[in-house]
Amino acid sequence: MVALVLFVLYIVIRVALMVNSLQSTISQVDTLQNAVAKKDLAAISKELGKASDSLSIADSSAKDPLVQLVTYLPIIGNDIRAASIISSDGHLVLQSAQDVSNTANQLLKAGIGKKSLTDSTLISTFRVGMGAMNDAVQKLNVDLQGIDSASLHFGLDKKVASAKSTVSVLATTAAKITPLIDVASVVLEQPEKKRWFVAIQNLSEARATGGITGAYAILVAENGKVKLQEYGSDKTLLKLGKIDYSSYPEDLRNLWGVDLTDWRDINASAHVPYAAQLLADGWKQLRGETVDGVLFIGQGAVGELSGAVGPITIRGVTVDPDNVVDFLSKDIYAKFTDVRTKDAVVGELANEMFTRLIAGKLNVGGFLKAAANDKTGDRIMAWAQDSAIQHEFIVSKSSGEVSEQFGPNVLVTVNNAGGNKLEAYAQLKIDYRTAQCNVDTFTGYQGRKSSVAIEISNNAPKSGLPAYVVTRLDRNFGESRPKGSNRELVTVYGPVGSEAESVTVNGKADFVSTGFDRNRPVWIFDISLLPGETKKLVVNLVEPISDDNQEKVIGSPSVIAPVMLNAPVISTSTIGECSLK
Amino acid sequence: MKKLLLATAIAVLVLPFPSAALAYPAGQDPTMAFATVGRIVPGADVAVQISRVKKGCAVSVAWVETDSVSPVLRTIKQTGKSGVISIATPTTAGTYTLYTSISKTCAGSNSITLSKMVIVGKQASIVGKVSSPSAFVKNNPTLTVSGTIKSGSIGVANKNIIIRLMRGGVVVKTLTDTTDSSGGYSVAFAAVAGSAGAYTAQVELSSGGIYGQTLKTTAALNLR
Repeated sequence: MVALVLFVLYIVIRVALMVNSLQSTISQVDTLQNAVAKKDLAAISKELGKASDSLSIADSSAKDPLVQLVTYLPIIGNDIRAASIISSDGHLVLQSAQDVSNTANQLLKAGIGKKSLTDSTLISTFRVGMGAMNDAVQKLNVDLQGIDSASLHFGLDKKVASAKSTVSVLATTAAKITPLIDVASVVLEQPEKKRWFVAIQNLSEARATGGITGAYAILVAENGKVKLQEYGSDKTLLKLGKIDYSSYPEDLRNLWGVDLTDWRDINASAHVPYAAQLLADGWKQLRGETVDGVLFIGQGAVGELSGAVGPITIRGVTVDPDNVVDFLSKDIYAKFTDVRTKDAVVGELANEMFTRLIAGKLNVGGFLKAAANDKTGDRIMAWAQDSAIQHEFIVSKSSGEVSEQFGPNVLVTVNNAGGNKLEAYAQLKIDYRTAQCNVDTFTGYQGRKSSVAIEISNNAPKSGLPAYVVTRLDRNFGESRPKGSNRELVTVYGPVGSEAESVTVNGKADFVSTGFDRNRPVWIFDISLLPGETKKLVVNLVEPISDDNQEKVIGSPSVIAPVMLNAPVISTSTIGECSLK
Repeated sequence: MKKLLLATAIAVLVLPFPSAALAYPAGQDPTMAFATVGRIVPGADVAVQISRVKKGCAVSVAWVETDSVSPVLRTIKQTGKSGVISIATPTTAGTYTLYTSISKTCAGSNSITLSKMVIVGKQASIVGKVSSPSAFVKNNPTLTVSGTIKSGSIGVANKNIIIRLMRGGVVVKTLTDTTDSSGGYSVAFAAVAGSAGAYTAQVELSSGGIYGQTLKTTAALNLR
């Protein structure tokens, strides 16, 4: 009896400690918010440390196996579980945030970007810290979303609902900024002098890596110090001449019908290193300079950087984080109808932005706000000649390498085939589902049925768009081409070893070009879309559940979304795992 | 002879003009697209369509590797498309190439040859291993190459297979076996004096009415 009382008493004390510690942390977070408002990094680090210490008591209680046992109790079990998740996940977030804040403070003091760093490990410490913080925030978000707010008591329901909303925004922001910071850190932390080609993609004219290279910048970085060597538009690149594409895989050269000698056409494959290698080859062949790496950014990343550097006025137009994406994807064509002037404006904007970035006049709050508000499907991708640096990009998932491994994952890309800027109005929905087991593939594996369904909409208006936006440069074969109509090459990369049973467009069997890219079968739909039209493209697959060694392939279905101006809507589902016979 | 002529024609047409007709934006050239895209039974028809070709032009599709199936001819319509072309696949499983050549006048710029790989029939998956990764020749060891050949969940039963022992990429010994009812196989060989070196074993299932040719190279065997 005494033991039972002591047992209950122990649990009550542990839970009380956890609740008390949580309350104490909430007041620490209020002080932290004041420090954030004052943009005082030293104070932020200090307050993060206090909040983290305060929450560590709650974390310790939450991890107590006896407290975990209480989460299974009826009525209050969910409350304890919610408090436990917030304690443990929140502690991780605060700890990692404190590490990041400390390092950021040291980097700013060292004059990052402007001066060579004396401590070369600082940037990599910062990068690793950012990755850890992002992981912690994403975990907190997933765990929080799993709590049923309605089942909570003692006022926790409202607090948890509010926390869910805040943490969801935080998770989105962290997911957006982490790759950008990862790549920037890798560029900055190289001790040797490296030259980087920044391909500024125009997502209004889609390519598999995002968009046509509309402008570029050459950055030279060494041990934390960066210089803008030059910038220009695609016209400057075209004037350089044609690229010798002999490094490009032979079997892919004709797959999308692109001219690989043309700077505008080099990124039809989803595998980013192919396009990056061509850009580096072209620069070496035609300018005689070695490029050590290539970064691909589009309007979304530019929007985030705009938040960091603040409003820029070019030729009477003020571009700020709120309008930069629309300006670069739509409004610029109406405002500057002369193509040369439009190209010059893009170049001047890029120049001013990089100059400010390099000068280190950065607004961190503006950067975070712009990232939180970024509605594009843009993401930075990077490639380096040096395999060790490339490995860093792979680890940070910024390399854009198409995996050659078995697994239930598919990619979808869009290549504009009209020579226009109408992907500013394109919207995709992609649904990938794995279904019936016990269906062998003809390719020799145990398999299952699955399907990839894509709804692609052309939301361009029927009139009112500038001629440059709606032009059709592809050959006409007598089809109706009202203004705003478009032609797209939509490519589905199936899982390694998969095969198509059928392909349909709007429910009817159709024709697709076929081939292989990175060991994956690809199916290319060549479709025309009238303004306002939506088409549904489906590939019905049989995909492997065993690999070349006749062993089981594991994983849940996933889709690598195309980089597009309007973020695609992705959904996946499965009826469950299939067993090998 | 016909195969040789076709292969030569493709080589002549493809090599000098790998992308000469290509131009910005993407997808300007003629294309050969498929409606029957996978899981093709030997002898069954595949449906293809040639597009983006000048109207009135005649196009012909044929297999590179065999003359047992007659080429199919179509005239391009006003839409620039051939309409559905059905052509029978070869009756032996394997990997084949369907091709068509389009003249400069019909392609719109330079002449072009379109060719696509088509997998006919099933493929098998071979697992193989050597009984020991290394051995001393002086002990006159007997080593075994064994494994399983399956296509999906089904063992490839009662099929003749070839096992080649290779040193430095050169075949030094060829062995044969027949798979059992589960697709299993096992062959033994004796290492003799003077045969020291690093070996791999290549296992081959030849093409037939159901399965296409499949090759698998095992892990290395080191004879010292």
